[in-house]
Parts: sequence; C-alpha cells; structure tokens
Amino acid sequence: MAVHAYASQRLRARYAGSVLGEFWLVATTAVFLMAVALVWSMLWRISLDDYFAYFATGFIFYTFIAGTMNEAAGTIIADSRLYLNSKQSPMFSVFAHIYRSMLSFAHQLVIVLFVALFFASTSVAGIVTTFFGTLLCMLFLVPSCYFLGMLSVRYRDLLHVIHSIFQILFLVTPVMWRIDRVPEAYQAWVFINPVASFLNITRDAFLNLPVYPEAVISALLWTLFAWLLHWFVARRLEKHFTLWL
Amino acid sequence: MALIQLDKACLDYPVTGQFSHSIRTHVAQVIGGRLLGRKGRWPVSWVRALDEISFEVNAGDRLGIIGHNGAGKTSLLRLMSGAYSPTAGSVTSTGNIQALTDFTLGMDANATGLQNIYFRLAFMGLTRKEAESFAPEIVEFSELGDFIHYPLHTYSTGMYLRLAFAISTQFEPDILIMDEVLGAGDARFRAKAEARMNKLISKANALVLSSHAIANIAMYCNRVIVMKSGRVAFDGDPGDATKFYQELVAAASG
Repeated sequence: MAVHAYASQRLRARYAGSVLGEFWLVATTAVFLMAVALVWSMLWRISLDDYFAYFATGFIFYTFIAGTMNEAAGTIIADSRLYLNSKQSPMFSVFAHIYRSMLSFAHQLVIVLFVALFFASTSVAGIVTTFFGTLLCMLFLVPSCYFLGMLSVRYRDLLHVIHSIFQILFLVTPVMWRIDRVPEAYQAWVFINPVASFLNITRDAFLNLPVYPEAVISALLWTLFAWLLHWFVARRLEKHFTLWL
Repeated sequence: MALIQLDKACLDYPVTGQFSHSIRTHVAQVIGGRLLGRKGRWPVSWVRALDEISFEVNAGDRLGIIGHNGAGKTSLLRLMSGAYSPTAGSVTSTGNIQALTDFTLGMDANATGLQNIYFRLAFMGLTRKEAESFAPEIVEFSELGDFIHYPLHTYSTGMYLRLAFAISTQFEPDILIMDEVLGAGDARFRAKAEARMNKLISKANALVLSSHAIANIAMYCNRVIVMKSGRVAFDGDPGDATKFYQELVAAASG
C-alpha cells in the first residue's frame, strides 16, 4: 500500500493544477504521434495507417522502457529524506518509481487500444507474447532501475551521462525505423541494444511482426545481467548508501 | 537485554565535493592511472563523525544527548535509528523504533489532509482499512474540521504543523528517538501537544532525545551523554552532565 500511495502521490504532484491530469499527456502524445507519423510516412513512402500503428505503439513501449530506466537514476536521491529519517530499503524508491511508470503507461495504453481497433491487425498469440514480453521487461527493469538509482547516489554526474546515452539510444532503437529495413547481415546486431530486444518481443509481437530469436535470447541475457549488477551493487553500496545522500 | 547497544561504533562520512561524486573523474583516474602504470587515485576523502562509541540503552532509560554543533548528535541519532550503518564496530537494536527527527516527512502539499493521513499511515506500515480507522482520531486531534478535505497548500503553517504532529505522534513506539522536542500551533494547541508528547514519552520503553535546550533535557531525561568531537565525553546523571557541558562551553568561549 505504501508503494501505491507514494507512487500515486508523486504522479499527482507531477500533474498538479491540471484538470485532465495524466490524460493531458495522453492527448499531447497522440497529437505528437499523429504529426510525426504524417511527415515520416510521406518521407518513407509507407501508408500512413501502417506507419502510425508501428510508430505509435513503438513510441509508447519505448517511452515506458527507456523512460523508466532514464528517470530511475534520480529516484533514490529524490527520496533522500525518507532514508535519512529511519531504516528503509532503497528498493522502496525503485518499486514506487516503476509503479508510477506503469500507471503512466496504463494511461498511454488508450492510444495502443485505439491503434489495435483502427490501424493494426493483432492476434491472440501476439497479445499473449506481448504480455509475457512485458512481464520479462518488468523483470529487467527492477534490477536495472535499482542499479542506476544506487550508482547515481554514489556518482551524481551519472544522471547526465545516462540522459546522453538515452538520447543516442532512441536513434539506434527501431522506434521510427523497421528492423527488416536493416541489411539482413546486420539485423542481429540491433539486438545488442536491450531496449530494441524488449521492443521486438512487445511492440512487434503486438503488431504481428516477426519476433526474432536473437531478441528473445538478448532480452533473457540482459535480464540475467541486470540481476547480476543488482547483486554486485547491493553488496558494494547498499550498506552505506545513506552516507552518500 | 539492551534495547540499543553500540559497541565501538564508528561513522565515517565521505567528504562530498565536485570530483568525489563524479563517475567521469573516477573513470579518468582509473584509466589514466593504468595508462601511466600506476594505480588510479580515488578522489574521496573521509571524515570521522563518530569515533568508537560504546554504550547501551536499556528499558526505562530516558537518554539525553547534548553537545556543540558538529559534535555528532544527529549522526548518533541516525546511527541509533538505523538510517546509517556503522562503518566500524556494531549497533544492534530490538523493538520498534520511531524516529521523530523530521515530522513533516512525506507531506504532499497538493493532496488533501485526509489523503496525507492515509499516505503517512501507509508508510508506517498500516493497511488502508487500518488507516481509515485511525483517521478520525487524527482529524479530531489536529482540529482541522472540514479543512481536512482541502489540499495542504491552502493551510496556514500552524494548520500544516498541527496535522503533521497529529499523524507523527499517533502511535506509541518501543523506542522513541527525537531531535528536539516537538511542538506545534498556538499556545492552546501547544499545551495539548505537550500533553501528548509527555504521554508518548512515558509510554515508550526508552527515549533518546537530542536537544540544545538544557531545560528539556532536564525535564525528560534520567541519563545524559555529552558529545564532543564525535566521542562520548560524559555519560551519567543529568545534573552532572549539564555541569560538565557548561564547563565545556565556558572553556570553548575562552
């Protein structure tokens, strides 16, 4: 209950003073997606319907995965008052942060539903794959956000480094471009990027596009690696992390 | 058995500076060091805030902590509350500890008073149902009436503090740790708050109170520690401790 209450409070604070609250973000995102899809479908010479479905769902899943990781860097620092008052696990901030991202993502799913109804052909198998892909993604996000959050407590300039990395990551992740447009010999390399792998097993599965075995393997390996990092950082930093706050 | 036991507990703070917190500096030091064939230098220095502190807090203890600014009082409270782990030695505790060192913690100005009650109680580990059952008592104590349904940013400072106080002092812990004695509101509410504080203190198995107000220490404590440069300089009777502290102050002021 504490995680729910805290995450809701933070989300409310972000949209304080707005009558539409989180739905204001949904509306602005929808306008942004339409505008980009309109221009880029003409540039790429693809039908607007196909490109809008691909880009809109991709952008929403990407924002959830990459946005959650990107913002995770500052989450424990932002909650420092909680940790300087009494003993508390830093996982509290991590869970509250991910829960808040999930609430935002749930709002954005209105757009995905809209796409599914009017622009894309989805299937039961695709939706089931997306569901399990999202679950695996959550398993990846928990240790990743912990790792980034804890490391940022120790190294304050990591926030800027991470923001820069994620700006580049958007360009090398197939959000606006399709994997099948990459020369076949290089397609597997795309999945070195964990966000590209998770996007393939969520967004692409949802749109009935091919799910690559390399993406599944990469997502599993990255999840395992993230838990190893979590274990390493917990051992090295957690005992005295409050001294760095 | 001691409720809190410190055994040669030390606390070292990293001295925060622009470079000690920089991953870019750290990486440059390590890589630069390797290239130049020497070990990377770590631009972090440490300062000892608490040095080999050993004492016990037992049931019935009303322990006061006094000392100059920077003597280590807040660090000691945080060590005892579990917020900090000792960098050497050990600190063990049994029982439920409540640290009233920051009693407006977690208050959300955009949420209503009632929402803040639910949130704060959830943070104390209560379920929604339990929080709902305690809420009327807190509302009544805070004397906010219908204002409890308004956002906190519409409250006066007094109303805000009354609510924060009512929530923070709702439950009686085994061990109560306080940084200065709490008080809130106007003269009438302050009397009510004082009565509740006295009840809270008398019901707690042990009290640890850090304060600059010697009168409060004399009123609430049956044992006093005087901190000096991160060490326990005196541990004993409140009267003797006060005398010892006043001598320290006199010596410091020349």
